[in-house]
Amino acid sequence: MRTHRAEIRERRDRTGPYRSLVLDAPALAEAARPGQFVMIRVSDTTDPLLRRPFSLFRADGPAGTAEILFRIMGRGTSMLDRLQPGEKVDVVGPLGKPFPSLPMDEIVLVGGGVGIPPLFFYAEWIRGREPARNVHVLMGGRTKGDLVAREEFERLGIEVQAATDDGSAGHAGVVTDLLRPFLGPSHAILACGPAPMLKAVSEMATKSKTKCCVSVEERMACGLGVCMGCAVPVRSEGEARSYRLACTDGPVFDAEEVLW
Amino acid sequence: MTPNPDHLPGLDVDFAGIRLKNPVLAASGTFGYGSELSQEVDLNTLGGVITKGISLRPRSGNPPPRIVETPSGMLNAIGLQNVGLEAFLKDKLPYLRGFDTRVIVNIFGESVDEYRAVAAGLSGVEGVDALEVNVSCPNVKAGGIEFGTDVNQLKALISILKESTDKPLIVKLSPNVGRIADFARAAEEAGADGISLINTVIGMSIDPRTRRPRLANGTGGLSGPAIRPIAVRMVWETARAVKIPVLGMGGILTVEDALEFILAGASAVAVGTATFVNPRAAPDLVEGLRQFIARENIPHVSRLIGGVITGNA
Repeated sequence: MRTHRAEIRERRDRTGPYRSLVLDAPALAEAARPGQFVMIRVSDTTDPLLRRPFSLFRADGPAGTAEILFRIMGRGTSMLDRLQPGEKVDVVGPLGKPFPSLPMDEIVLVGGGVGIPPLFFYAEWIRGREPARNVHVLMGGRTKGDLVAREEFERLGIEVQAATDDGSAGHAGVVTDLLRPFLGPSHAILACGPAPMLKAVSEMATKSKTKCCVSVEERMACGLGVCMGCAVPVRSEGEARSYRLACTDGPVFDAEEVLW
Repeated sequence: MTPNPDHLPGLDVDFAGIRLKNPVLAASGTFGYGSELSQEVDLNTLGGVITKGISLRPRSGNPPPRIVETPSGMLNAIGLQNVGLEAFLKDKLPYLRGFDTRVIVNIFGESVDEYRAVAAGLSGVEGVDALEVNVSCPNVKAGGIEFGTDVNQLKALISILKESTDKPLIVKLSPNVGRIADFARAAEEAGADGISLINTVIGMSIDPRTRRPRLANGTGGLSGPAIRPIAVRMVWETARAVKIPVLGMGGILTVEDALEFILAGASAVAVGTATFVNPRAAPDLVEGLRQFIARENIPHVSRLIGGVITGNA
């Protein structure tokens, strides 16, 4: 079952325009894997009509809770932000393919802003199951307020290296400036964030023959593979162009597969 | 029929020469090839499934962004992405055959020859109950809309397809025309067994900051509750103009919405965009209709078809 009527257990204000909601959804929490997402209906009316996709930030099977972390962007996320603990939301998930299991010793998580949730879920997951792996986090953003969940990574014992466009925290520049020491065959990169960042990370990974998986964001109506709205251009043999669906073929893709 | 006090009010209807166990179908392009929603929907509960549009060869579709939300609706310009006839027959149809529901295959082509080839390729195929001829996709230049907006071309196409296949033909009309009844009559005269409508309404959305259309294709097809009144009106006009049955669709979310279409003259209804919002929209509608006619003491849903009361009493 992928449809849930979930009660909001807790609402958390995070840095800047970021918020998170802890949902009481045992079946979802049990089934979810890092990299997967949910579709949430933010209102019971027809405007806005469509569900909104959110990457899972955390899923706690034993506790029966799942958490999403989002940025207040427009009407949909503003409506979601007004919901209070005790209220219920309509959730479909977990959806999409999770991050693959990777054999490399050094796991490098690269992202920023709303790209952080799937990376944190992965970090917590791997810490709980394979504590011997080294996990590195490179976090970027426009400003300090975009460095969400930094303390939660640090609580897992993971060092976070930050970069901000305005220099308000960490390195003044883009997150890929920090990536060079983490390239090579013993490393695997998992990246999630804006397309220009993913493109830059993918190019560095490809040149250095570093394994790299990206989690992409694309507009989608259903999240279930039936609307075919969330097309991701991919490399193909022969054909002029070819697309895969972010919702069911992804959202995680091998970086070499995506045509940026 | 002998009256039976335990008999649940009937929902089965005849449509275009096939018997539907209930008048609720999944609309083309909103239900994939049937297997995608297997976790949410028991296909046995539906009157039928209309597949994603099938062309002779696979099509990759339009570049993204392909969708944008609009007030009580959405615009799409998917561009008829599909696996093509061969892969449909080999990989998709066997799954659908496993259920006790009607399978209607939506077909389209870039030319009369391609339409004919797809219709012929599905002729005699076991497990295909009818063909829905898409002459109304607004998002692909040669995606059929030239046939759906020219009465003579439509008539010629349907006449040819009628001879190319043994399956009932349902013609899916475009709402992007002046007088819908003319097209419905043309389809009927050419031998169509049923009419389905409406396909999406051509629309456009522009981002004022970038000054660019929000869809890569520029324009797209509007669907959802926003188009429902247009759809109900066109079903009403069509049902009065032809003798063949009408399959109504356009923004149906609830039982009340479906009843509007049935009262306007639709023998059956299809659920489209609602499935994106609620994957169980179609089976929920079947159950809702069952409850409605039981509650209202209506012996059979067919009693409601075309039952709208107009004019002065």
